[in-house]
Amino acid sequence: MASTSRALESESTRLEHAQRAGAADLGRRTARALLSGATPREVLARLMAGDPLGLRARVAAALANEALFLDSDRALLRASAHVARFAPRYRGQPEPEAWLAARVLAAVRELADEEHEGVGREGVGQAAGVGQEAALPAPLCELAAKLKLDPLALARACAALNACERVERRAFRALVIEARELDVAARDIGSTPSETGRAARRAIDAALGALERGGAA
Amino acid sequence: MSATVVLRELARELAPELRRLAKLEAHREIVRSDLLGVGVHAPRLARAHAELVAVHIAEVSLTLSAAARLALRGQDVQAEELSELRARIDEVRRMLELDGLALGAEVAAALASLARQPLAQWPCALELASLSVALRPNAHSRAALAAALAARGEWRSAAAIALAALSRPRSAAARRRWLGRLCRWLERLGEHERVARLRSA
Repeated sequence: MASTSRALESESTRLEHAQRAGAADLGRRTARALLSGATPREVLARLMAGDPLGLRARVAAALANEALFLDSDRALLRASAHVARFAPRYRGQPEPEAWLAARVLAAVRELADEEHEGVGREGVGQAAGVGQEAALPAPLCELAAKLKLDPLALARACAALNACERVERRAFRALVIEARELDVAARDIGSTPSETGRAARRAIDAALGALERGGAA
Repeated sequence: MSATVVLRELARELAPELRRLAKLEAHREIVRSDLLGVGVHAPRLARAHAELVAVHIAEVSLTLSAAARLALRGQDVQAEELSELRARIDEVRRMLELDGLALGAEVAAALASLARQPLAQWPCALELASLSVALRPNAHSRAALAAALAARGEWRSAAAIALAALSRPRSAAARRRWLGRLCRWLERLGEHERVARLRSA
């Protein structure tokens, strides 16, 4: 009886592994098919028809991990553009999962850097820099209305937070946005509670300073 | 007449037309024209294309900065480094061409020169770095420009770029890097007291 149960268990584990391997193989083949044999513009057109590589979820994860306050839709478009531009360089190594994660991270960081430098259009920070409310992303304006804040001031606060160190942004996100316990947040960030608290304080000061410069509505 | 026969006849009639379309690479033109996206995701695709242009520009800028740094080192550059950069330049030019993107005559001429000419005949580091900054003013391109200026002995201009970068550093690490450069260039200008103050601050 026991040996039958063990055999069933082992068979079920084997099937599970095979299924997982099959799914991973299918994912690899799908990714390679989408990324290969085309110009960047063509790859981009493929990626924009639905979300065949699951970039939306990858961008959300990257924004959360970097604790960046960016227009997530624009970040998704930039990540898609990054994947499309560098697809011809991709030769199957590293595995698609790792390659896509690296491209998405590069795209998100690039967007944050551009915002810091004041490059481009309709970023969260750019419009704040030049005082053009019309150029602000719609989600930011909606959030500002809900928080009863001047959209430009909120844009400035986001830009100020994005200019903070990553540990400060992560502490701010964990403690202020996600309202997590200090100990839990510190453990996740890999720091001490006191340093996490200080890091969040610095980010709050930066955001408040930016809000005050703009004034509340 | 069976359906198969009808289809064969139709295929014969259409064959010259299909061959003509294949020559025109019609599928590529359709994708480029956004025809397939009309009414579905055309505005979104247009926004995505704008982001793709930004990525192309950033990559060209980064490549020009890398070339400027090699140009500064001159004979010290290893053969592998040079061939690596050349491969990158070829790829950058091919991708721009495939996507039908032109970034101006100066950039095209600089990239062509980097791809074909020996390092000694490349445009100078200052020209390459200036093009890089013009395309995308960021930490990479500014650092390349400041280094190119410093290499010509234009310490004050190099220090001015460092000072501007230090007024809004991207991170503590970036601040340290720019501060180190600034101190080096101020030392060359003989401003030792200022350097001592900066280092102790």
